[in-house]
Amino acid sequence: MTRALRGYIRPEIEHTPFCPGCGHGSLMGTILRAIDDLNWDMDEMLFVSGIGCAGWIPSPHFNADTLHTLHGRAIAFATGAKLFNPALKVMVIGGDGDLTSIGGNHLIHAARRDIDLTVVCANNMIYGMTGGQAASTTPLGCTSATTPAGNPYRPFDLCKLLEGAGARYVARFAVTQPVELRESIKKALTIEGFTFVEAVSPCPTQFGRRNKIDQAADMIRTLQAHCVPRERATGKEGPDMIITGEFVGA
Amino acid sequence: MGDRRVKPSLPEGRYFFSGNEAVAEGALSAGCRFYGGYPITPSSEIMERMAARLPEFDGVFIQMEDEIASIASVIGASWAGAKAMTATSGPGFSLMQEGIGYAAFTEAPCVVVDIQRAGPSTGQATKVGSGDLMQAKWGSHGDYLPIALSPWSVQEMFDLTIRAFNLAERFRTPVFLMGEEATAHLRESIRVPGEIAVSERNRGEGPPFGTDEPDGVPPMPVFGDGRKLLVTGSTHDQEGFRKTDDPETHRRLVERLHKKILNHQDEIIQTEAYHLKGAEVGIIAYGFTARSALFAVQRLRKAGVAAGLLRLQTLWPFPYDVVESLTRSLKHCLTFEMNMGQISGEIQKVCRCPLHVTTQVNGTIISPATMETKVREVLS
Amino acid sequence: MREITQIRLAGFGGQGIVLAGMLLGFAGVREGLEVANANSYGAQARGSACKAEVILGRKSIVFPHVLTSDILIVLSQEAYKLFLPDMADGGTILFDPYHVTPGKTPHTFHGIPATQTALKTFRTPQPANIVMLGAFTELTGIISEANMTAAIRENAPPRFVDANLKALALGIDLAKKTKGAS
Ligand SMILES: Cc1ncc(C[n+]2csc(CCOP(=O)(O)OP(=O)(O)O)c2C)c(N)n1
Ligand code: SF4
Ligand SMILES: [Mg+2]
Repeated sequence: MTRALRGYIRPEIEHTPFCPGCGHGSLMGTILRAIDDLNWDMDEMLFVSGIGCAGWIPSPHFNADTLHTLHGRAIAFATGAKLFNPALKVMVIGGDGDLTSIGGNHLIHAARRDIDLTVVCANNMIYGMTGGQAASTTPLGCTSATTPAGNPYRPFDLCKLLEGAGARYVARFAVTQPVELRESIKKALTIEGFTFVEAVSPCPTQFGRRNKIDQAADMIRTLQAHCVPRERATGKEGPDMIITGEFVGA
Repeated sequence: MGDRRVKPSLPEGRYFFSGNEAVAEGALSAGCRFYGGYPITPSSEIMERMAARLPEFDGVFIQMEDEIASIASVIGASWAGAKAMTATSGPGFSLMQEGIGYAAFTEAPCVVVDIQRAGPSTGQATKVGSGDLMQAKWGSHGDYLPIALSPWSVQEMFDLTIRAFNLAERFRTPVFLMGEEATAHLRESIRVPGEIAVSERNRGEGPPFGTDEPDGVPPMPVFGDGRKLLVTGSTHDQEGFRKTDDPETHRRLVERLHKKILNHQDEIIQTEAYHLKGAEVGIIAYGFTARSALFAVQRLRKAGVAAGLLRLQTLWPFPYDVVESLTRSLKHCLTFEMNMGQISGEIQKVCRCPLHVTTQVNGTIISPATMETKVREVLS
Repeated sequence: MREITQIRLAGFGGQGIVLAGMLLGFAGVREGLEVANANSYGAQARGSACKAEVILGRKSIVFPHVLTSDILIVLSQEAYKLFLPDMADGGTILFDPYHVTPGKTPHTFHGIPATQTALKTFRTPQPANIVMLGAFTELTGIISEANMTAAIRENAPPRFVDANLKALALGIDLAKKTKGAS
């Protein structure tokens, strides 16, 4: 962690628990930079997360109130805290499995109710923590611990899902686009109501390895090669391409 | 119990309430300011009254998308400083269990009302049962000690709801009010006093997750207090840091959570004795069934039979000592339950006289006549 | 009044049996009595033998369900047949002759033409339940007319309060007539 961000991290923290090359580490830095840019007081913030590698992004690292909850349920916990104390600025950070597979119902209902939360979904298209099983975001045909012959099911397009559910702001950027991602998180934080940022985050350990991308660096290169900014998209991109940009509330 | 005297949610006086309405008023009186729930028979009237009444107290009401979300929202609100509750029935209580374990382990005070109906599964949704008592005890995984109360009247749906909040705040733990359909839908005249005693959370200094003091109940700051709280359902040290590999941290935490209940059983456990002086036969009952039992006992006494009743208001922690000392002096002990004998099993563990168990799981209450007959059978 | 009076109101679903029982309960509380009230619930309340039980006590009520009814207020033949066996010896039965033809049993019977009166006055049988409550008020004297009136004012659905108060008065009149006749 760079010195500029040290104040945002609990003094007791010496290192992060993420694997080398894991996108969650850089997402963590990007989130804190966004908060630093906004000059927000961490004592007014509450970070809520669920279970998964991504759930560890705020907990125990962020030097603020943090609520590390159950697998899938972070948004429901956050809803209770936010409604009871609206002065809290509440951010939910979680994995794709956590927020959109087991917790998908809470996600769409919080968006429908327009609860004033910012949700950042660290989408690595896999269950990282439990050893690389398929998630609701695993691309069609990809190999995972539970789809050894390739995933037979289509993944969610999370941004479309959240747009349909009524989120005020919806965007997708990869952690390999740190500037855009940071601006997007800032926007999400400052817009009142339910906002959603999908941060595509590589998991070299569980996703890469199983899909024949052995080196963390290759994982980054592959991700970069598959991202197409929305403005440049033709609409003819194959299902393995990742369209990035702001989809609602730009 | 309770250290602050406050005015209840209604002016002092007599009221005619259903049990469910009385729960809602008890909660409001105790200071409940957050309700998150999901409709289910036979508990829904609690939710409906909270929806209507909470705004009058600047409280927050939300209908969540399911019971998993309901208990989660309640715990989130609790950590944000609310006295919070939800109410449900069997199927919803099942869905809440993971959250209940989280509340127990992070020591988040909250009240969960389970208006029991005839289960398992969807069972008989509008019929009475009392089959969720072991679920209240063991429902979530791992070791923790819950507190569960059993009201027998509409008055107690009010009184014990207040007590449930007081116990929750005092011991930083989820507390269950184990109601039954028969009392939830019963209407009775009740008395709302001019003042009640309530307990307030200790938000003071000190590590929020544990001390080795005998009291075992650490202070609980809340979100927004500037304490940079670290709350997790994983094993944590006294400041909240995850320690998922350290055997000693886990042992200390789990043992402290047990001790904070076990060391205060005198404060928690309540039972009532009726006609037990000189009794040869004792009925042990709880909830609605104790109403039938008292009626039967009074009739038996009139007929010259030395019968008495021990009524359990607290089911968890279980009043083993009270039961043991009572049964030393009895010739026969009888139990009647609207389940297959869940509490009788606990009584059996310490019972010092022959125990006669009657179970009834047909969705109806056990009548006083059934009890009288059983007592006479046992004596003949 | 005795220490505990057990009252059962019965008829078919939709006749307002449960509401009548509740209003009686509210009136009982105003009267300073202990009250317990258990009703048919769910599908039962919509069925052909809907019942409301009201226990009024001068002392606390130990068992809150009716075991033997001292008073039966009945608006359907089926309910009459069902609940007759639970009547206390010498109990009182208020029945609506439009729906119920009673047999010969050692009880005190009062035929109250509630449905017909409701039809005549309101062009709907609906207020028959409150007409019966009026007759009950007059015949038993357990609850004062003032408390019954107040219970209706405070707890009946607002748009029906006036009609219900009128129905109560009609019931009281009908009861006065049957008293005169017996
Ligand atoms: C109720 C429940 N079911 C299953 C698990 C096991 N589990 C822990 S993390 C996880 C998946 C995490 O995946 P994701 O949310 O995508 O986070 P990542 O590790 O990929 O960042 C699962 C299935 C659990 N903790 N709780
Ligand atoms: S398993 Fe995957 S998601 Fe988890 S820390 Fe390692 S790289 Fe990151
Ligand atoms: Mg994942």
